[in-house]
Amino acid sequence: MMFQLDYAGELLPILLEASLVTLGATLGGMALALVLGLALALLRRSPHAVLRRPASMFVEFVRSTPLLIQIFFIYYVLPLYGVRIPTVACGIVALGLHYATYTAEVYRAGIEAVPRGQWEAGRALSLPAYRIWRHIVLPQALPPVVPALGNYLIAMFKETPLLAVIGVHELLGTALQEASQTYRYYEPLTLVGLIFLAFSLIAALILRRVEVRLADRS
Amino acid sequence: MPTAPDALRFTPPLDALKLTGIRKTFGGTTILSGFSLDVPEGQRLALIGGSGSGKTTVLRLIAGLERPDAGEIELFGRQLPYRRFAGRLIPDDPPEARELRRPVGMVFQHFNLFQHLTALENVIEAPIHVLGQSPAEARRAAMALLDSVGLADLADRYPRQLSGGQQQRVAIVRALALKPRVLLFDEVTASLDPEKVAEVLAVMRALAADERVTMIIVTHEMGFAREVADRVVFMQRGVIVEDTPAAAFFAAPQDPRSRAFLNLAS
Amino acid sequence: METLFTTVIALVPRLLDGAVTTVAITLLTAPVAALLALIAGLARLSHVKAVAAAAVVYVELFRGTSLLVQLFFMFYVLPLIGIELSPWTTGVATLALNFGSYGSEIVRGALLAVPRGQIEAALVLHMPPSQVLRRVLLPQALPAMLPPFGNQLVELVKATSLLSLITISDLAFVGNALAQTTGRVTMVYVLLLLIYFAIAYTLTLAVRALERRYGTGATVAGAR
Ligand SMILES: Nc1ncnc2c1ncn2[C@@H]1O[C@H](COP(=O)(O)OP(=O)(O)OP(=O)(O)O)[C@@H](O)[C@H]1O
Ligand SMILES: [Mg+2]
Repeated sequence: MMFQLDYAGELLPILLEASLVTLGATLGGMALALVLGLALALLRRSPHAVLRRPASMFVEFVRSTPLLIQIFFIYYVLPLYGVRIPTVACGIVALGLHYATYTAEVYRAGIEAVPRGQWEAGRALSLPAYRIWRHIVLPQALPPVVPALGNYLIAMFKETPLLAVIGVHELLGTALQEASQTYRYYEPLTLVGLIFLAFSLIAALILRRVEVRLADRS
Repeated sequence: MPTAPDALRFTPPLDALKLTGIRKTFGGTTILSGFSLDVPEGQRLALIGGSGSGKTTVLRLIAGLERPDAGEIELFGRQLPYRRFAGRLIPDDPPEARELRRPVGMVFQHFNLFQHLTALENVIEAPIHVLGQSPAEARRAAMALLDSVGLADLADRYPRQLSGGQQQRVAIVRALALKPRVLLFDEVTASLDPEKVAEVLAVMRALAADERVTMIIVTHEMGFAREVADRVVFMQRGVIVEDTPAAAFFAAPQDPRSRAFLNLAS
Repeated sequence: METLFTTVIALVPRLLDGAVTTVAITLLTAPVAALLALIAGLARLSHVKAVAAAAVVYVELFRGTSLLVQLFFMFYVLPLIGIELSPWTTGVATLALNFGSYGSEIVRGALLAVPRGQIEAALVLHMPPSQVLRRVLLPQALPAMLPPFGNQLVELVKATSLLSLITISDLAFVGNALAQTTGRVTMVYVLLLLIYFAIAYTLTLAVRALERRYGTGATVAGAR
């Protein structure tokens, strides 16, 4: 069986359009993961066990279970309890929740790398906890972990095809739909692979730039 | 006039080592150029000089850890092929080069004992896996050597459970276990606590007294060099400034630069 | 409560059948992936340019594209070009290739982290490169590989769930089928998550025990 260039040519615009959905889901998921992950990281450092324990358990649990099942859970189970959100949103929430458990670990490493003296200096000035976090600790903890967060952005991007299982028309879903009409899988799936490869390589290059920048700054 | 039979005729000792016209550059900076040195068999040569003068580089070239950019290295009259340094992890060497280099052993400033092996295992590793000795034979020889440096009791300790001085004695024994004919010592006491220096020097002193092995000793211990060496080579910026019998060097160094160095060192 | 109890009783044995498959896939794939990781990690450090380049292509190809896309490609496209593999072979091979590519970076990093002096000591003892690798580098690099490989193992358990999409009746497949046929959607998915967690957690504990036994203690201490 030959790879048909004309068919590939027809597909390409359709798939590039679908890649916008993929990118959108990635960015949405990442935004959620960044915010939620920080919240989880802060909760896990709370002096109150009632906050710390559940946050830790949530991270352990979500991290150790498949994203695929979490997607199904959000898509099929939540509506039974009156939570009705659009399909794409289900996907974004699943991605965001799942990756929040990874970003939480990244934030934690960043926070732990801030020298103790910085905290003590903040307390010596009798700043309230909120101000110490906001103005002293986080500004030092976050920049060094940007590359690690970037890696998870790329990882999440590569997991967006899972959203096809609940009918999101991202890259893979669109390709499979096209394939089911023409019974040709070769071209659509190859193109999807190539598009992912291209985006990943570009993202890796950008990330390396960012790393160099950060290294220069410090 | 009767002539002596051939066997009794005086033959000058064979050069253990002969470096000719060596050039070595690191990233554009020339460290050695036209460097030559002959070392007769059995000589104890002290190679001294200020920091960065190229002493370590000379030893590493002989040991095959660096590759010269030009020049020749001969070992007992046989020219060593250059090591190929293409490997990103382990430099690759033609097997015959490894064979030719076998008489050479080296002891490092930082010991470099294998961290995952005990003292005894460090010593028997190469005799078993390079020379093909039987484990029992290698073990017996290794224990005898460890005993001779006062470490028989610590044979089963891992490097991290040994003091620096003990580690360095194990490292010397590890080199000796291959019965080298040329031994290179690179500041073997430089990273030891002052009170541990003596125990390592004692081992080397005994070695110099007993064995026929050719020794090139890079050291900042001038007292030790004076005591053990037959010959002193003083280097500065990759060049041999003075090359004299040890007694003459320590009595009255000829070059003003070696005089200055000696004054500083003592 | 009676009904809840009976549904659980009815569902669990069938889910456990699926769980056995999931564990089997994991245990089958992990050694293959580890072997690929070792080969590719070493190949990337080879002085033979073609070997190093081939390893880079393999690693970038599998790290740069998505696992699910790879799985569908192998499942749908390979038969079209004359390569007929069973879903099991396809699934395990794809997982192993994918995880092998990530693992190769772990192997490479751990090998490069062994202090240079260890290699030089081996060289002045006249060890050939293969011996330096086997007897000096690998024994010291392996303990450093254990924790990241442990994490990868948990990732692998999670990733096996994608094989349900190419007709393999693993835990995810059985669960989805049960959710549809019994209508006990919430119950089934909660049980699914719990069982996956139990598998992953057991493996985590096993890896931690391994780390404690063969942990980094013996090596890293000596950066000297
Ligand atoms: N791998 C290398 N890359 C770049 N430069 C190097 C390298 N090895 C040595 N050099 C340089 O070569 C010069 C000679 O170094 P070498 O280590 O031989 O000196 P040395 O006489 O042993 O000094 P010291 O007494 O401090 O040990 C130094 O300027 C050093 O910076
Ligand atoms: Mg030196």
